[in-house]
Amino acid sequence: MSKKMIVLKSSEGVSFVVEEAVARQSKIISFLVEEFPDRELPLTNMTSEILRKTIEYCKKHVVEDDGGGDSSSSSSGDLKEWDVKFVAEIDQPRLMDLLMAANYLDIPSLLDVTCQKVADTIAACNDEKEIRATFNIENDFTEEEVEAIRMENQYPI
Amino acid sequence: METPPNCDRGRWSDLPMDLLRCLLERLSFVDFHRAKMVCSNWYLCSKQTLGPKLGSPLLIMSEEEGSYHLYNPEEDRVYEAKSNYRFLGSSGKWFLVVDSRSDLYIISVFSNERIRLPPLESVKSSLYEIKRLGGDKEFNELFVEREPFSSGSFVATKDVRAVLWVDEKKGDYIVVWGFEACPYLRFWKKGDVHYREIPTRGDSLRPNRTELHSAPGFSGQDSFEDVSTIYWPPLCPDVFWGTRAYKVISYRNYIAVTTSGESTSERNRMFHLYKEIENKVIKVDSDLGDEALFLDLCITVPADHTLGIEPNSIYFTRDDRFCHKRVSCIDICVYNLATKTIKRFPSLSNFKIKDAQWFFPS
Repeated sequence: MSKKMIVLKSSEGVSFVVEEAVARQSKIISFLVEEFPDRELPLTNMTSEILRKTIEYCKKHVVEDDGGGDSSSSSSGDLKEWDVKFVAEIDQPRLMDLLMAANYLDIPSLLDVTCQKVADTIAACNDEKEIRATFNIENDFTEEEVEAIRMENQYPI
Repeated sequence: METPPNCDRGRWSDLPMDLLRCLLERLSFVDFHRAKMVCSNWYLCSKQTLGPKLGSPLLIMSEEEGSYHLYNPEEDRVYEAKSNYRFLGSSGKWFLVVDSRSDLYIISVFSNERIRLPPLESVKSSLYEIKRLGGDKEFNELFVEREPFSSGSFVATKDVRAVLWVDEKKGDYIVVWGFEACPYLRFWKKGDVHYREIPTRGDSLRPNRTELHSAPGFSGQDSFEDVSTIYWPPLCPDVFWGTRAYKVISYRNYIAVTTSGESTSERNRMFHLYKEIENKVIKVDSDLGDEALFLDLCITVPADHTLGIEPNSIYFTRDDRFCHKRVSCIDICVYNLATKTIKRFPSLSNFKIKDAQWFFPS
């Protein structure tokens, strides 16, 4: 019996044919598949590039359920290593898109690894200026506000 | 699906609140406080989070006056600090600090809560009076009924040793401080406008229960009964270790003894653990079980792998914190009682550390 396939469509209108088990790691897609079976699912807020990345992640993490119960396609150690490599290869802007995609599609494990990558990036910065520079964030505080927050931060460290 | 993510590219400040919250909650507390200063959105979000990740032991170290570093052994990472306080002690998230004007404060690590303590010289005492000298750094401790030519003893803020004990549930804040090598300690609890005096045997910052209870206004009925039992047990005065190479260094139900406190070779440091049971001191080596003993804080803590708290271990910095008669070297280490091995932290070797203390930002 061939596996059931579903079609996901990116914002550029590119269709991706994915095994249903792979796509169902997204709680949103899982829900949509049940509500609208045999329909192409448009993901208008996701570029092909990000959708491709997301599918790549889901493919790796799909839990095969053919006979032997829960058996992941990889051992958990390998999977961790793979995740590390996966997020390491993602640059800053794409990281944000992927984070948003994981959040929107509701894929907890992908959200976890992308969040952690951002947290690690923040941790690698030496002060708030470096965080702003790294994430291209504008400092929108007035000097008084900065001073007020500093006062708040007056812990002895 | 309202906003295509492409528009958000590079606009990390506008990250949805739930995502941002999820991010901020993963940060260690130093990173958390940095992140909230990035922009107003991040700051607003930081107010809606549960706060930074907590519970791992950290080390606060001072290099020289006014220069602080914070070390997180779990990340093997050193954070630079920016304040001029001198750090005297901690209890959970509370720090006892002294500022450049010799004023004591209790400060919360995570908020702007700050309790100012009475000036050091406001002690209610029939025996001693303390006079503040010019420059706010020096004091003169005089007998009230002094002989005409007695000049008293000159003491300095740098000689202040103190312990802090906070019970947030009961709202108890207690500080005991004294000038090093002075025979009187001062006791303060939240609400007091001056310190009260506790006479001690003169060589430690640990009044025993009898001494503590002889302090005026001190009643065994209130919650301080618990404090004295937990915090200041009699330090087995009858135990004679026979040789000066030993040093009794601990607290609570346990008494830890280190054998190289004064020796030049810290490499040979050994710890022995004794327990006081019915007034007898019994050796209980390698028996902290699933707990870690933090000597600086006088507490034992359940071991927790995820927080980096090692079981059956003694977290150590120095053995002369409360009695400076003989100055020993700082030796920041974790001693495993079962394997009798010492873990040190190579990344700290570049620092000229003057003082250090373990604490839990809880």
